Amino acid sequence: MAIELLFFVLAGCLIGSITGIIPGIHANTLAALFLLLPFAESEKAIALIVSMGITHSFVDFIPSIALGAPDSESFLAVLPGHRYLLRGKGYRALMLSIGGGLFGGIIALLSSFFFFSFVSKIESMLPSIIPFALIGVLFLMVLSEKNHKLKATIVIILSGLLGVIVLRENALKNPLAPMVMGFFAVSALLKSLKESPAPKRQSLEAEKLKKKNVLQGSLLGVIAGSTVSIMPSLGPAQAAFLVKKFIGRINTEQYLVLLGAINTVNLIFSFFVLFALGKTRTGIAAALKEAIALKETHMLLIVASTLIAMGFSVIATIMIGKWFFKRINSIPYSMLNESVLFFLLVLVFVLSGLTGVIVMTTSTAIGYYCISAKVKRTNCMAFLMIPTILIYLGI
Amino acid sequence: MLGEQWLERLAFFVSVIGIVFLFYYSYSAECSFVRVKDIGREMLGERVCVRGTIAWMHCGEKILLFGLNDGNSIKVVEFGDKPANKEIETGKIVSVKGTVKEYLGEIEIIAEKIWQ
Repeated sequence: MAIELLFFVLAGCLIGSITGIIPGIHANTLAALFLLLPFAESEKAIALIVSMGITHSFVDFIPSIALGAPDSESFLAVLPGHRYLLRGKGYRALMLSIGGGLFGGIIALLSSFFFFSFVSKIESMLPSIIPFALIGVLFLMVLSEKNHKLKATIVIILSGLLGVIVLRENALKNPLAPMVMGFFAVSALLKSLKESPAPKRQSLEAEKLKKKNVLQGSLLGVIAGSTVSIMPSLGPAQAAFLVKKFIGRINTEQYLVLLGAINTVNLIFSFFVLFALGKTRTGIAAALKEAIALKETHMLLIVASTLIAMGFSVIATIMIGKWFFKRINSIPYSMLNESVLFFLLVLVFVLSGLTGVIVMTTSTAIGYYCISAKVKRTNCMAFLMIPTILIYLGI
Repeated sequence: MLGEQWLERLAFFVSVIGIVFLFYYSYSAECSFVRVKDIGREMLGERVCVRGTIAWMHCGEKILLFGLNDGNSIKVVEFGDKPANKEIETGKIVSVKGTVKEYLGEIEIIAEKIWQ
């Protein structure tokens, strides 16, 4: 049985590597599809889904940094990562995110018992706290905009309105994909096509990272990731924003480490939230809940799959990243971005039809306005936050 | 300073720990003995061990079917070219390790191992 489970863990790692590399495809989507397979009701599903999610959380920084094509969880990495890419140091940005994922994951697993106890204790308070906490975050996001408070408010209202219409009317298949891709990927790609110069030749020298940056960034990533795993609709972007707000100055390298840690930590803690509260905060956790009646003993399988996947992911991301950054200069950068844009358009059409394309166009317009008006794109997460607030307030 | 090699070594070490945990999980989760009356739809997909008396048997070329009784009955199915334990007979007490499945609305155990 152990060998069989190991096979499924490695299969999940392979699939997660593929979903991570292809912009727009998220492991959550595939996890839902795997529930249709014959082994879906067994521990093999746990091994495969967990390892796929963990590997995806590492590898998806490659398209974010190299192609400027992030998803909602990694889009914040685009700006500092892209700056590094243009300076010929895209590989260093990737190494920082890998360091964050690995150390953040280890710290999360070591602190999981405390997290589990904490979440169990606050369980009854959460429904009353959540809407007001989210409202507080929205206010904080607006107030943090030095000169663009009005524009930030406009973005929040427009994104929130779009989210309410799309999510509450249930008119769309796969409603999240067109909005997320429009806000965070397509808008960034259009901007990149319009303005970005081609990146310098990438340096693939063995990178040495400062221990202080990696450890501090990972620790902050664990705090941010744990917040994301508890609060519905709060994304890694807002969590990173909150950490930066409360901690103060974080250098760019620590910030990239933090972003690398958040996704992996959020995923790990979402498993514990599933056990503690029965609630799902990630698509991967939702797929697990559907797959099999989870028992406490499965937690050990989840931890084992996570550890194996983390180890695999570090090595795979380094190898794939080197391959990518070596070749990125041999393809005209604008052609690469145009191909990704076209691919995302086709993907949204396949997932959500023509209505999805219209929704993506709208969210792209809002995201592009954000970038042009120099307003943080974290404000676009109102598309998820406002519908969540309304649900919790019973409106 | 943390180099690429250092990260790769740590990653390898973390994987090895994971593999050890995986083997420990397999060993400890191998099987838990349950009573037939406790087996229900909520256990579909789970691996269980049950011990009881063979109430009836049907042996085909590629299939062995029998009813296992420990106060309550459940059907046990073993597939294979040569179903094992052909010397098992009605009235004998056996242990069965297998997965709980549902077939045509009825809960049954698909056996992996049968022993006396």
